[in-house]
Amino acid sequence: MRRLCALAVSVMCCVSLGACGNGGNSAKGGASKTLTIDQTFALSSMDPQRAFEATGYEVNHSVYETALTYKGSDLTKIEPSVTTYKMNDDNTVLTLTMNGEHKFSDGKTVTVDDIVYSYQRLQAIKGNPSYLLDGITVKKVDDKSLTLTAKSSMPQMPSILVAPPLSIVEKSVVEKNGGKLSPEDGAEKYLTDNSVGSGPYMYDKVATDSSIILKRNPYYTGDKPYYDRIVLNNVAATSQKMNLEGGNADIAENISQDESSKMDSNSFAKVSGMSLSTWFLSFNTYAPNAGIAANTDFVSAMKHAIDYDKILELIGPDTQRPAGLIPFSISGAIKSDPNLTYDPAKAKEYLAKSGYDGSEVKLIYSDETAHLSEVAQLVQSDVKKVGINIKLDPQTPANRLSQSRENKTQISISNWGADYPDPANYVSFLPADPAKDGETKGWSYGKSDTADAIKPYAEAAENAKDEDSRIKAYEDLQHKLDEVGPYIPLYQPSSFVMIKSSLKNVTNNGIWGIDYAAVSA
Amino acid sequence: MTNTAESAEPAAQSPEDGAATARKAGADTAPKRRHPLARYIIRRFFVCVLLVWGVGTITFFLTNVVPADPAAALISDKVAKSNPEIVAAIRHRMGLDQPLRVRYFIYFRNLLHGDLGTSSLTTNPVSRDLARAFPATLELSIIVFVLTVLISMFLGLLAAIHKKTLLDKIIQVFSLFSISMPGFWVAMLAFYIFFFRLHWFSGGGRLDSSLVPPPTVTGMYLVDSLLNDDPVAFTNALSHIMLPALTLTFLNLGSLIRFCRQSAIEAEQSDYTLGARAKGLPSRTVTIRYVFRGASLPILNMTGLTFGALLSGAVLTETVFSWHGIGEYAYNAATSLDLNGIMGSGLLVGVIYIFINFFVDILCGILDPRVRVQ
Repeated sequence: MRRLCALAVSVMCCVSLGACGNGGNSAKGGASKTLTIDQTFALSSMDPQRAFEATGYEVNHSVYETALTYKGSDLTKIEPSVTTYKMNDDNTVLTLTMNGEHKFSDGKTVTVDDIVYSYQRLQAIKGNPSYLLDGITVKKVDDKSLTLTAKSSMPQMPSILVAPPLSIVEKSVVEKNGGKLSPEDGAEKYLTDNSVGSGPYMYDKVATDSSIILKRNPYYTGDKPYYDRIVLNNVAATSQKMNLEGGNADIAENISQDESSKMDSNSFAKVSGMSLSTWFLSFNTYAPNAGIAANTDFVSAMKHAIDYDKILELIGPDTQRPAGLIPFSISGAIKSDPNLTYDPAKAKEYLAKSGYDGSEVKLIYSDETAHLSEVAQLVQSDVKKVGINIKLDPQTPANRLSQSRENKTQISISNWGADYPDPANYVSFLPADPAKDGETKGWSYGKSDTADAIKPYAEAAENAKDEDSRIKAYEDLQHKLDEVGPYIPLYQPSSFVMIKSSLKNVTNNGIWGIDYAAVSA
Repeated sequence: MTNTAESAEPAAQSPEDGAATARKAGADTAPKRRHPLARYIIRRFFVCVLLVWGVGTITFFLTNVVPADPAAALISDKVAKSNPEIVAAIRHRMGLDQPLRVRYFIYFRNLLHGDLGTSSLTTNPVSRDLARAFPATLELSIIVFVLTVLISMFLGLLAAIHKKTLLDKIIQVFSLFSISMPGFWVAMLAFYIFFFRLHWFSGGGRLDSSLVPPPTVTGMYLVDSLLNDDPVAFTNALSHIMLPALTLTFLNLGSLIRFCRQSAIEAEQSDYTLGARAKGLPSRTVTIRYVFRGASLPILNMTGLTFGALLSGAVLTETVFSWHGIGEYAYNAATSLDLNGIMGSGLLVGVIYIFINFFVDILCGILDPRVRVQ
């Protein structure tokens, strides 16, 4: 017993020693300036031509350069970066010309060949973002310029080139490490551990499920960033507030509205940006699985049964509700539509026309996204008042996606975030075209009256030439979608991050999030 | 002349020859020596190998028959709708276009070469991911295990010795608290009080972000920082590990305290203990050499299971403290439908349990001769 007591005392001494071990700089690490960011990772690949989620976009924006860019959080004006650009009159040929000297992290200069290779690799490897350059031919003109040629008018081409999947990689290094211009490309593994970009930072250590550490690119030709190291930690949203307030982090990206309102405004600040993400209800149109949810009168009943203002109140301040699927801050967004008004009486009329028998209708949503379960409950209680019985079905994000893709759902809460800030990025909500996309169980032209009703509006939007007629065409398209389409836009959340007040120049861009190189203290 | 070879009487033997003959005769007739412990170990080892195969098979089928498409998590809506060749390419990359039996065969063939496949979540080989995550869990588990065993044996024995007194009741109530409280809640509370409010310990993660981790030797920061003579990293890593370690210790104490107490009470009431007391041995001697030793075997079994559970990773605690170990890896793999990650984690946990039980059984065999004879 005495020996056990002695052991217990030794253990207590170790615990006390641990309690004293806070902070301090490692003699090995030196006093480098480190910016620590807490984020709940959304990441499937660090390969810039494969990365398609928020975390990949944010990190790769600081590691790679693109031909064109935006400044800060302003998404209205495209700025030259590695190249300048010029579009021809019918928006089919975009010419890029090298703009100054840019160097990769191994000291080699960025060339036209690297840009051409990067774009062709994006097309060839058939990854998620490969569709961004669908129908575009990339060609080197000379050592200073290249062209991107579309089959038809494509005014959104410059916007596309800003997206992180259009990052410029070093051709020789990627080829040496398995890079190929085909789906058999084997460079993903190398590009997950090693960066080959010309941005202000480069990878130091990457563990895609826990933390990503960046260090300065010694050859970066732009303004030197303030911080030597960026540490991005995968931290559960519930722990981020305490980490930030306890001094463990400088920026927290996933604190909820409720929690942020309780933080000391002298010590912490909120940096907002309008997110490019719209949350909406989506109705399965494949009748054998969807049942009543495929009925257009039922969908119209739902459109008038929801109290949209209550949802905005629930999500928090700065939340907006575009009346279409295109969010505000992208041209073509609409503010209101008569088909999306809260009108229980009208909802009951449509419901009676639909022949709904009162049976349960499943509403599936991701159980990992903040507020979604409350939104689902709000929708359930609103539509209950007009006689619709909703059964809530929370699922993991992967399960929800899987069931949606297989057309096994009835109603789901979904979201769409823009890859580039142009209304053309939202054509995925249009009916499928069997001529282009093959036969599908989903909503498609030639199989549904509502789909065929949309077609002329979709074609008008695609073929519009000048900016004003484009915007009008997309607005008309959205009004038509509101009238007959299987979607109900619910809200566009504000996007914000919480930072220590001592930080400066923290911007929150709708495409890539935080620009690490711009942050200082 | 007679045939002396056939009819000759055996030559008279010298005493030395006689002794040698007698020894040889003795050796021929003595019973063969047995090595029950060696046979026991070999037998158990082969059973373990079979169990590993069984665990791997069950894990494979349970993972691959879930009614969800693991490729869905990796394919965007735009691509899923209008780019079937991209969908096909991604599915081919993940091996999902093969029939189940072919995937089973490929999986086990690769397993024999130590290849657990590639994680669709991290794009790393699963073996590499597990090799990165496991030291974090191992480091935490060792500390928790030592603390849990020491404290629970101390309190369990104390409670047994002072059975039915106020001290015994206090210890039992404490153990009930430990068993009853939800782990996630305790972790959040500990994080809030001891890090956020009192600043006694560091926050989440294994090391302050401003510090460079020590060069990897074992992957355990405490060990690596000592090996690399980095006292700042050592104390900082210790400060980070103590809060999750104390939380997990608290959560594991309750059941082990009660088990130690019960085992000690049973040992104390056994005949050999009563005999020792009857002989007039001092109370301290009886406690240590009879009660403690008698209770050690069942406690050893229980602590083995506890260690196995710790090495499997505590998902909730690891999530709260951002301790990127096996538990968090397995959770992320499960929610992302990363099939290879799920199978790899499941197999690792199964192997851990199997081999910990194996070693515990061997230890029992060494400590208790009755086990090996049986």
